Amino acid sequence: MEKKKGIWLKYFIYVSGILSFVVFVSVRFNHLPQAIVVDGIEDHGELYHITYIDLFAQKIEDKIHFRERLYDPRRDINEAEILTFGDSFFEFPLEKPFSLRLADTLNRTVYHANSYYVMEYLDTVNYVKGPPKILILDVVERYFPYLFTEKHRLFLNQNPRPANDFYSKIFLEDAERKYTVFLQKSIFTHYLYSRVNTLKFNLLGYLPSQVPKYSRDPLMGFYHETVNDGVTSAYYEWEDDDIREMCDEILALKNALKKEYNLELLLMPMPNAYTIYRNLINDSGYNNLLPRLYKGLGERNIRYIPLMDAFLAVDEMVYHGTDTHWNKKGQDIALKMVMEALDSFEKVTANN
Amino acid sequence: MLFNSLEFLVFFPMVIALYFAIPARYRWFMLLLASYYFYMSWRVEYIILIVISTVVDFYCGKKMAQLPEKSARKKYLYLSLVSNLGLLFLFKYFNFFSRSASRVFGYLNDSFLHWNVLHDTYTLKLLLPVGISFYTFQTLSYTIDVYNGKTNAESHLGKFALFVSFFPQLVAGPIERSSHLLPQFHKDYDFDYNRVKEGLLLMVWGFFKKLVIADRLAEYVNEVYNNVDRYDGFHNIVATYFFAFQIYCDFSGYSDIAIGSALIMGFSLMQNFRRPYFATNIREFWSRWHISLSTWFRDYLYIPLGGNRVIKWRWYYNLFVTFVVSGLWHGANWTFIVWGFLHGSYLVLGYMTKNVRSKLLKSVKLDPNSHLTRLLDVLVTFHLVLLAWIFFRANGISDTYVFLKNTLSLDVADLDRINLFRIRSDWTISIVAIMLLIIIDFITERAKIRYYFNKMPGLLRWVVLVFTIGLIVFLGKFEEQDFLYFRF
Repeated sequence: MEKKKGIWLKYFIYVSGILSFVVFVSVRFNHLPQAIVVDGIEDHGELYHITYIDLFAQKIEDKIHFRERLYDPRRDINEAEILTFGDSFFEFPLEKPFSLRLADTLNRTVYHANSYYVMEYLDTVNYVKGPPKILILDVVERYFPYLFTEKHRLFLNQNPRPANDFYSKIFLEDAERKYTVFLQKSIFTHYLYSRVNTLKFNLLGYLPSQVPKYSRDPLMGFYHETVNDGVTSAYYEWEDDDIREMCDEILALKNALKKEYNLELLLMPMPNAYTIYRNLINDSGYNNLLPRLYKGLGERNIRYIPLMDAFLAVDEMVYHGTDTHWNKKGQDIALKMVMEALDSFEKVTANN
Repeated sequence: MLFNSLEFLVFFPMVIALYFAIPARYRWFMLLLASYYFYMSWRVEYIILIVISTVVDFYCGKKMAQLPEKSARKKYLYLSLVSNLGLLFLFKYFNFFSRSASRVFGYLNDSFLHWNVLHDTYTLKLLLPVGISFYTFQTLSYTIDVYNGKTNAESHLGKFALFVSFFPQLVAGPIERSSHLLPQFHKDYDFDYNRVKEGLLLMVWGFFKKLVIADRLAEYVNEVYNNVDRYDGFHNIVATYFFAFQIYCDFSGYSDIAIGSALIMGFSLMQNFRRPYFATNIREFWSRWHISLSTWFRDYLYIPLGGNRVIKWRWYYNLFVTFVVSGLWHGANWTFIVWGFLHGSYLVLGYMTKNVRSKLLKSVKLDPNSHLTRLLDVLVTFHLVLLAWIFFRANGISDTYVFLKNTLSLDVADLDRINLFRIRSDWTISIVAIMLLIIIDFITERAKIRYYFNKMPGLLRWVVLVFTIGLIVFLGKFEEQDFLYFRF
């Protein structure tokens, strides 16, 4: 009788075991098979992919897959007329990437690399010193301390290559992240996962720690790196010496690029969304990192694009409310400013 | 692999399904592979330490079993002690002692000797292997018991390896005795509905304590204890009360999940917690808190030192030594040593003042067996433990000093800012969850709550279970937090 009583539980355990095995194998592929990913959610901004709360479930239009063109292995960096380096703002895949818009607008070849480490990259791809060219480097505001201060330096690996050997697949280093992605995106679990998160948000005010602050009208979520206690935060108090060190390091990079490769640096410090929209959450705490950097860069004759002032001057939204990146309007403003800077650079070069 | 990870949520059903699906004679092998995988998911190369402990102690046990004379067995006991404690010292304590020695020599040089030598600190860049203190003590108890003739040597290397590495209790206990756990690996267990149900229930309760209570309180506790300059008065007091429940729910939660998951497969692990905050004195507290460790120290350190069958001063010395070593077991930091010393002091002072306290009770006409006296005893014991937790949690001795100094400045205005949780509702949920825990512990203290649970109609029982799982999913904190005892 006891045995019969528990037979359903025994089969439940077997079924759970088989399903778990399927999940165990699934996450060991590099990508989840498309057949089990919920349709439509890939179009949402990254804040939705962090929170899975309905409030942030907005589609971002103009989703175009330019990645393949961007990383065309047949391109030769030496043939490019303009080089662009930097982070995801330049290759934000939800809009047409900045580098391609630049190439199309100027009708020139643009080589883009998703890397902050310009000198190392140029060395690796055997860039040959040639006629003077422009190199545009985009650095998001929160990563200046990691890239240009000795004390806070942190290597930002932008293109992690997944290990492919059997051993690494069995003992997955980022297993937890992959299981979480499965939970968030698979057709078996997505609905429950997003319902629970939304209910927790609505009833208890729960928000994941990666998006600790937000405004509802207009909708704007703020990424934790910009509003936490760390050095990347807008609240971190920088000494004048720190700002000086950052500017000196950038100057050293500018000089090295010129000397080694005959490349002119055009720096594009990318404001955090918080820097532009902090008034939406009545949060006035800002360390003025960008204005202080602009001043230091100007004093050292380093060319830069003052996006912060331009973004603050427009009434329209220049960032997506449910993503940390700029929108089409923001990209338009930046493109216009870069064109003007290139024009001025070319005039100077021609005069010389 | 953490119990509160998605990785475990996938791993465990696979293991138990396979366990019941394969013939009983192969199960030990499957469990051994699963246990090694469980450990290697944290860091693959450190499995070698477990293998070394296993092979050395298996060999020592076998050799000792062949020698009738205790004196002849001694060298194998020493081999086991040196290899196990050597690894433990190397990975856990070397840097601590090296830094401490360097500070002492530095002070002596600067103040008196002026030798200008021994200023360098020699440290090793070694990551502390998770659970090394637990499996080292478990396997040491085996060789000591074989040496003393209290247990037979294991003849099956595979099953002995499973005893050392059994995944439910590998990294945070309970620290099992060979006489209790090893024989269980020689038995076959069929699927038993009641046992599986009991195990699941225990696991669910463990997850509730860990994810809903401990990990929620951790946010407040970490904020205050990691920024001791920033907070004072009420914040420090609240953080310390919260820590008392955080560490209890964290560790007893882990133990419940460990015991429950082993029970599902048919193995019985020893009880590790018995509602410790209901203890009426410190001695009783230690018979309720981390029972597997306190009995280990009792059997393998306190009693061999002479226990209480010696003159009074020697007895007090034995108590101090046992508790200071117990503190050091928890971590290579002076805060843990002070914590152990405090508990030793509580016990010694408790024995020294026993008569005075009895007279005091009589003078105020309080019946020592009344509910009121018991309640007072529980409250005094709890607050003594609470005071010691400050040293246990603080990040260093200097932090403890600042923390205690700041705690004395009570500002009523702080009460308006007492809620430090990022999500405001966590304050209310924390208080309610702690009260629920106390109520459940109180009921369990007086009656077997599981007995009443099993008396419920079957459907209602499953409704309660599913509702609790729902509460965990809804109220749990899933931004991965380590179990506190993993560090030890």
